[in-house]
Amino acid sequence: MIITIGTKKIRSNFNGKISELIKKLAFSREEVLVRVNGKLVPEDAKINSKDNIEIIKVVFGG
Amino acid sequence: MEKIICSLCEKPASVNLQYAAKHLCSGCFVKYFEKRFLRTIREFSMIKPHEKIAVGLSGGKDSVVMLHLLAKLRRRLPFEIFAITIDEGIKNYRNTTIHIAKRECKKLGIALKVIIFKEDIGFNLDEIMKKTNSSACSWCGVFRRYLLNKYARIENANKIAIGHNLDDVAQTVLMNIMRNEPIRIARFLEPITNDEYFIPRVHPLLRTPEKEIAIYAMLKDIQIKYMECPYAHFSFRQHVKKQLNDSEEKYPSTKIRILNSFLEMKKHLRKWMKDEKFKLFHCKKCGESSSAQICMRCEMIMKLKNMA
Ligand SMILES: [Zn+2]
Ligand SMILES: [Zn+2]
Repeated sequence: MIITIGTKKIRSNFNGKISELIKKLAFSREEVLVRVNGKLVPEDAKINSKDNIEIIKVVFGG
Repeated sequence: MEKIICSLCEKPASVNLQYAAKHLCSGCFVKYFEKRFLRTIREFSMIKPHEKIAVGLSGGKDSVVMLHLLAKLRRRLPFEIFAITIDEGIKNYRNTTIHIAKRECKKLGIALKVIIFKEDIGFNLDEIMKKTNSSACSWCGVFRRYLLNKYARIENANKIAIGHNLDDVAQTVLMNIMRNEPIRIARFLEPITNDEYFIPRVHPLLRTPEKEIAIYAMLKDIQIKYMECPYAHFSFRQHVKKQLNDSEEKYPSTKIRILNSFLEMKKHLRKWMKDEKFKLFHCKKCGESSSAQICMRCEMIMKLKNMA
């Protein structure tokens, strides 16, 4: 799995809910959008190591 | 990945609305989002037929999405819109958002007026911040509000539409409580008087969570640049925003509950408070409407001049 955050890319073998990944990366789910394999998805969906993740910070401040 | 389906149709869901215990696909989300916008405009009678609406357009996601929604609404309701963008003079930030404001107005065929801070106030925000170490937002907020009102009036606007979202409103309510400012709460979000110098403000996104504005922009392919104002770091608002987002994650609906409770309280607050507290004067220096003999804008300019 490759996780893209802005211009940064990290490799991971995370398995679980997107909301848990968001927390693990120290974001709030109120401030980011998550695309899995290019599509916007609900944060309570489960992902696995085959998925490619893109985290887009859209809410600033706080 | 696991597929979750839309609560309203059979398509794969894109969005989880925790406060509504719903999953929505892109199509159902867009409908839901636009319906709430319309309902809010009706709920507060924000726009009447044939009015002229000045849109406060910063070029950020909130005001750009609002501009698109208002432009679309004109197909159902006959009214006029134009946009006002305030250039505070913030290096490496405002140029980008002004570019977006111009591009979107052109795309939608909406007239745009760009007002330069320095030309009216005498200083741009970068210069002000070199003089003082108090919060940029307090200076910027007063000057922006003043300029929007003044130029909306010059253009004969009936209303000013502001892109404040649910998060902004909930933050402001909490901040006013935390600072013990009940009068500000009573005044917040509603025209104070029918003074001819004061253009009433409307907030069509006040029921829309901030994050959903970004979702809508993404789904409708509205090009937004997500960036933070370089001066935002030092504000009390940031602190409240973080707290509120934590609360919303743990207790979904917190923000909308703050808004609803504020709207209910405000009715009583307004009755309870004496009318003098809402009295408007005309500033002795510039003539604009003001809650004191000299308006905040003129007060602040005097302060800045004395700092030399
Ligand atoms: Zn659907
Ligand atoms: Zn004045």
